[in-house]
Amino acid sequence: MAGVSQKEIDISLVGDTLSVRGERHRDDQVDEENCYRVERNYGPFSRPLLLPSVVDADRIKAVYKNGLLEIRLSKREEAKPKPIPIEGA
Amino acid sequence: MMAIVRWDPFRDVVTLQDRMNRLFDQALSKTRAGDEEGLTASTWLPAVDIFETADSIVMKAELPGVSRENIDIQVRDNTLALKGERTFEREVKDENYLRIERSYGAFQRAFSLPTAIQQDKIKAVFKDGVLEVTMPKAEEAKPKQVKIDVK
Repeated sequence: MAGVSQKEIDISLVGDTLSVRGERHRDDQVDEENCYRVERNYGPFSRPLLLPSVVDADRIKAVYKNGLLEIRLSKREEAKPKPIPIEGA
Repeated sequence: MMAIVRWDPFRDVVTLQDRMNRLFDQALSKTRAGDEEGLTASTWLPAVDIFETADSIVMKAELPGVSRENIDIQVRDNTLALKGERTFEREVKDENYLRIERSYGAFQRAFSLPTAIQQDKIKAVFKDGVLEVTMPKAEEAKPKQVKIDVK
Protein backbone atom coordinates (compact mmCIF):
# COMPACT_ATOMS: atom_id res chain seq x y z
CA MET A 1 0.00 0.00 0.00
CA ALA A 2 2.56 2.50 -1.11
CA GLY A 3 1.62 6.05 -0.30
CA VAL A 4 -0.71 5.21 2.56
CA SER A 5 0.46 6.47 5.91
CA GLN A 6 0.59 4.08 8.80
CA LYS A 7 -2.09 5.77 10.85
CA GLU A 8 -4.56 5.42 8.01
CA ILE A 9 -4.43 1.64 8.11
CA ASP A 10 -6.85 -0.35 10.24
CA ILE A 11 -6.50 -4.10 10.70
CA SER A 12 -9.06 -6.17 12.57
CA LEU A 13 -9.79 -9.83 13.06
CA VAL A 14 -13.34 -11.02 13.58
CA GLY A 15 -13.74 -14.76 13.86
CA ASP A 16 -11.63 -16.03 11.02
CA THR A 17 -12.03 -13.02 8.80
CA LEU A 18 -9.15 -10.59 8.71
CA SER A 19 -10.06 -7.09 7.50
CA VAL A 20 -7.54 -4.56 6.26
CA ARG A 21 -8.96 -1.11 5.71
CA GLY A 22 -7.53 2.31 5.02
CA GLU A 23 -7.42 5.28 2.75
CA ARG A 24 -4.97 6.87 0.40
CA HIS A 25 -5.22 10.63 0.08
CA ARG A 26 -4.45 12.62 -3.01
CA ASP A 27 -1.84 15.33 -3.01
CA ASP A 28 -3.70 18.51 -2.34
CA GLN A 29 -1.27 20.77 -4.08
CA VAL A 30 -1.82 19.32 -7.52
CA ASP A 31 -4.62 20.75 -9.63
CA GLU A 32 -6.56 18.27 -11.63
CA GLU A 33 -5.95 19.95 -14.93
CA ASN A 34 -2.23 19.62 -14.53
CA CYS A 35 -2.31 15.86 -14.40
CA TYR A 36 -1.12 13.99 -17.46
CA ARG A 37 -1.69 10.55 -16.15
CA VAL A 38 -3.46 9.23 -13.09
CA GLU A 39 -3.21 5.50 -12.66
CA ARG A 40 -2.84 5.12 -8.95
CA ASN A 41 -5.92 4.41 -6.93
CA TYR A 42 -7.02 6.92 -4.34
CA GLY A 43 -9.67 6.89 -1.70
CA PRO A 44 -10.75 4.31 0.87
CA PHE A 45 -10.04 0.64 0.46
CA SER A 46 -11.12 -2.46 2.30
CA ARG A 47 -10.03 -6.05 2.01
CA PRO A 48 -11.62 -8.88 3.98
CA LEU A 49 -9.71 -12.14 3.90
CA LEU A 50 -11.00 -15.46 5.09
CA LEU A 51 -8.24 -17.29 6.90
CA PRO A 52 -8.08 -21.02 6.39
CA SER A 53 -6.88 -22.47 9.64
CA VAL A 54 -7.68 -21.44 13.15
CA VAL A 55 -5.50 -18.53 14.19
CA ASP A 56 -4.76 -17.16 17.59
CA ALA A 57 -6.22 -13.67 17.79
CA ASP A 58 -3.89 -12.68 20.63
CA ARG A 59 -0.73 -13.34 18.68
CA ILE A 60 -0.92 -11.13 15.61
CA LYS A 61 1.97 -8.98 14.52
CA ALA A 62 1.84 -6.37 11.81
CA VAL A 63 4.79 -4.49 10.33
CA TYR A 64 4.49 -1.67 7.79
CA LYS A 65 7.67 -0.84 5.98
CA ASN A 66 8.36 0.79 2.61
CA GLY A 67 4.73 0.68 1.65
CA LEU A 68 4.46 -3.01 2.35
CA LEU A 69 2.22 -4.28 5.13
CA GLU A 70 3.17 -7.67 6.53
CA ILE A 71 0.80 -9.37 8.96
CA ARG A 72 1.86 -12.48 10.80
CA LEU A 73 -0.78 -14.56 12.50
CA SER A 74 0.15 -17.50 14.66
CA LYS A 75 -1.74 -20.71 14.38
CA ARG A 76 -3.29 -22.07 17.50
CA GLU A 77 -1.54 -24.99 19.08
CA GLU A 78 -4.17 -27.55 18.15
CA ALA A 79 -4.08 -26.46 14.51
CA LYS A 80 -0.40 -27.13 14.08
CA PRO A 81 0.48 -30.41 12.41
CA LYS A 82 1.80 -32.93 14.84
CA PRO A 83 3.79 -35.95 13.80
CA ILE A 84 2.42 -39.23 15.10
CA PRO A 85 5.06 -41.80 15.92
CA ILE A 86 4.53 -45.31 14.58
CA GLU A 87 5.19 -48.08 17.02
CA GLY A 88 7.21 -50.97 15.72
CA ALA A 89 5.38 -54.28 15.41
CA MET B 1 6.92 4.72 -25.82
CA MET B 2 3.68 6.28 -24.75
CA ALA B 3 2.35 9.71 -25.52
CA ILE B 4 0.98 11.48 -22.49
CA VAL B 5 -2.58 12.70 -22.92
CA ARG B 6 -4.10 15.53 -21.03
CA TRP B 7 -6.33 14.42 -18.19
CA ASP B 8 -10.00 15.13 -18.65
CA PRO B 9 -13.06 14.27 -16.53
CA PHE B 10 -14.40 11.62 -18.87
CA ARG B 11 -11.27 9.64 -18.62
CA ASP B 12 -12.52 8.04 -15.42
CA VAL B 13 -15.29 6.27 -17.28
CA VAL B 14 -12.93 5.11 -19.99
CA THR B 15 -10.36 4.13 -17.40
CA LEU B 16 -12.93 2.07 -15.54
CA GLN B 17 -13.80 0.19 -18.68
CA ASP B 18 -10.15 -0.25 -19.45
CA ARG B 19 -9.53 -1.61 -16.00
CA MET B 20 -12.37 -4.10 -16.32
CA ASN B 21 -10.96 -5.28 -19.61
CA ARG B 22 -7.59 -5.70 -18.09
CA LEU B 23 -9.04 -7.59 -15.17
CA PHE B 24 -10.63 -10.07 -17.53
CA ASP B 25 -7.46 -10.33 -19.57
CA GLN B 26 -5.45 -11.05 -16.52
CA ALA B 27 -7.87 -13.63 -15.25
CA LEU B 28 -8.06 -15.48 -18.53
CA SER B 29 -4.47 -15.49 -19.67
CA LYS B 30 -1.41 -16.18 -17.64
CA THR B 31 1.00 -14.09 -19.62
CA ARG B 32 0.30 -10.74 -21.12
CA ALA B 33 2.70 -8.22 -22.51
CA GLY B 34 1.90 -4.58 -21.82
CA ASP B 35 -0.51 -3.82 -24.62
CA GLU B 36 0.57 -0.23 -24.88
CA GLU B 37 4.20 -0.99 -25.25
CA GLY B 38 4.27 -3.98 -27.51
CA LEU B 39 7.03 -6.40 -26.87
CA THR B 40 8.84 -5.45 -23.71
CA ALA B 41 10.81 -7.34 -21.19
CA SER B 42 8.27 -6.86 -18.43
CA THR B 43 5.75 -9.06 -16.70
CA TRP B 44 3.86 -6.44 -14.74
CA LEU B 45 3.40 -2.68 -14.87
CA PRO B 46 3.46 -0.45 -11.81
CA ALA B 47 0.82 2.27 -11.50
CA VAL B 48 2.17 5.72 -12.24
CA ASP B 49 0.84 9.26 -11.79
CA ILE B 50 2.35 12.05 -13.83
CA PHE B 51 1.52 15.67 -13.25
CA GLU B 52 3.08 19.03 -13.82
CA THR B 53 3.60 22.04 -11.64
CA ALA B 54 4.68 25.47 -12.76
CA ASP B 55 8.34 24.50 -12.53
CA SER B 56 8.60 20.82 -13.13
CA ILE B 57 7.10 17.55 -14.21
CA VAL B 58 6.63 15.02 -11.47
CA MET B 59 6.14 11.29 -11.82
CA LYS B 60 5.10 9.08 -8.93
CA ALA B 61 5.29 5.33 -9.28
CA GLU B 62 4.03 2.75 -6.83
CA LEU B 63 6.75 0.28 -6.16
CA PRO B 64 6.19 -1.27 -2.75
CA GLY B 65 8.46 -4.17 -2.02
CA VAL B 66 11.00 -3.20 -4.67
CA SER B 67 14.38 -2.41 -3.24
CA ARG B 68 16.21 0.71 -4.30
CA GLU B 69 19.02 -1.03 -6.10
CA ASN B 70 16.51 -2.83 -8.28
CA ILE B 71 15.15 0.40 -9.77
CA ASP B 72 16.62 1.99 -12.87
CA ILE B 73 15.58 5.43 -14.14
CA GLN B 74 16.82 6.94 -17.36
CA VAL B 75 15.92 10.10 -19.20
CA ARG B 76 16.96 10.51 -22.76
CA ASP B 77 15.64 12.82 -25.46
CA ASN B 78 12.55 13.75 -23.51
CA THR B 79 11.66 10.17 -22.73
CA LEU B 80 11.58 8.89 -19.19
CA ALA B 81 12.28 5.17 -18.89
CA LEU B 82 11.59 3.33 -15.65
CA LYS B 83 12.52 -0.26 -15.18
CA GLY B 84 13.41 -2.66 -12.45
CA GLU B 85 12.50 -5.87 -10.74
CA ARG B 86 10.64 -7.09 -7.73
CA THR B 87 12.29 -10.26 -6.58
CA PHE B 88 10.26 -13.04 -5.12
CA GLU B 89 11.59 -13.87 -1.69
CA ARG B 90 11.75 -17.59 -1.47
CA GLU B 91 11.24 -17.78 2.23
CA VAL B 92 8.09 -19.84 1.87
CA LYS B 93 7.92 -23.08 -0.07
CA ASP B 94 5.60 -22.99 -3.05
CA GLU B 95 3.08 -25.42 -1.66
CA ASN B 96 2.57 -23.43 1.50
CA TYR B 97 1.18 -20.43 -0.31
CA LEU B 98 -2.53 -19.84 0.01
CA ARG B 99 -2.70 -16.81 -2.21
CA ILE B 100 -0.29 -14.93 -4.45
CA GLU B 101 -1.71 -11.77 -5.92
CA ARG B 102 1.24 -9.47 -5.96
CA SER B 103 3.14 -9.26 -9.19
CA TYR B 104 6.80 -10.18 -9.20
CA GLY B 105 9.49 -10.04 -11.78
CA ALA B 106 10.75 -7.40 -14.15
CA PHE B 107 8.84 -4.26 -15.10
CA GLN B 108 9.54 -1.64 -17.69
CA ARG B 109 7.69 1.51 -18.72
CA ALA B 110 8.56 4.52 -20.80
CA PHE B 111 6.84 7.90 -21.11
CA SER B 112 7.19 10.78 -23.53
CA LEU B 113 7.51 14.00 -21.62
CA PRO B 114 5.30 16.84 -22.77
CA THR B 115 7.88 19.59 -22.39
CA ALA B 116 11.62 19.93 -22.44
CA ILE B 117 13.31 19.39 -19.10
CA GLN B 118 16.69 20.06 -17.59
CA GLN B 119 18.27 16.66 -17.50
CA ASP B 120 21.01 17.44 -15.06
CA LYS B 121 18.59 18.66 -12.42
CA ILE B 122 16.43 15.59 -12.09
CA LYS B 123 15.78 14.39 -8.56
CA ALA B 124 14.42 11.03 -7.51
CA VAL B 125 13.23 10.10 -4.04
CA PHE B 126 12.07 6.65 -3.00
CA LYS B 127 10.08 6.68 0.18
CA ASP B 128 7.47 4.33 1.65
CA GLY B 129 7.27 2.39 -1.56
CA VAL B 130 6.57 5.46 -3.73
CA LEU B 131 9.19 6.58 -6.22
CA GLU B 132 8.92 10.30 -6.95
CA VAL B 133 10.90 11.68 -9.87
CA THR B 134 10.94 15.46 -10.19
CA MET B 135 12.11 16.88 -13.50
CA PRO B 136 12.51 20.66 -13.64
CA LYS B 137 11.27 22.14 -16.87
CA ALA B 138 13.71 23.83 -19.19
CA GLU B 139 13.63 27.59 -18.90
CA GLU B 140 11.98 28.13 -22.21
CA ALA B 141 9.21 25.69 -21.39
CA LYS B 142 8.06 27.38 -18.21
CA PRO B 143 4.89 29.42 -18.49
CA LYS B 144 5.72 33.08 -18.42
CA GLN B 145 3.41 35.88 -17.60
CA VAL B 146 3.30 38.41 -20.32
CA LYS B 147 2.49 41.83 -19.09
CA ILE B 148 0.05 43.60 -21.32
CA ASP B 149 0.06 47.32 -21.29
CA VAL B 150 -3.32 48.73 -22.01
CA LYS B 151 -3.08 52.11 -23.57
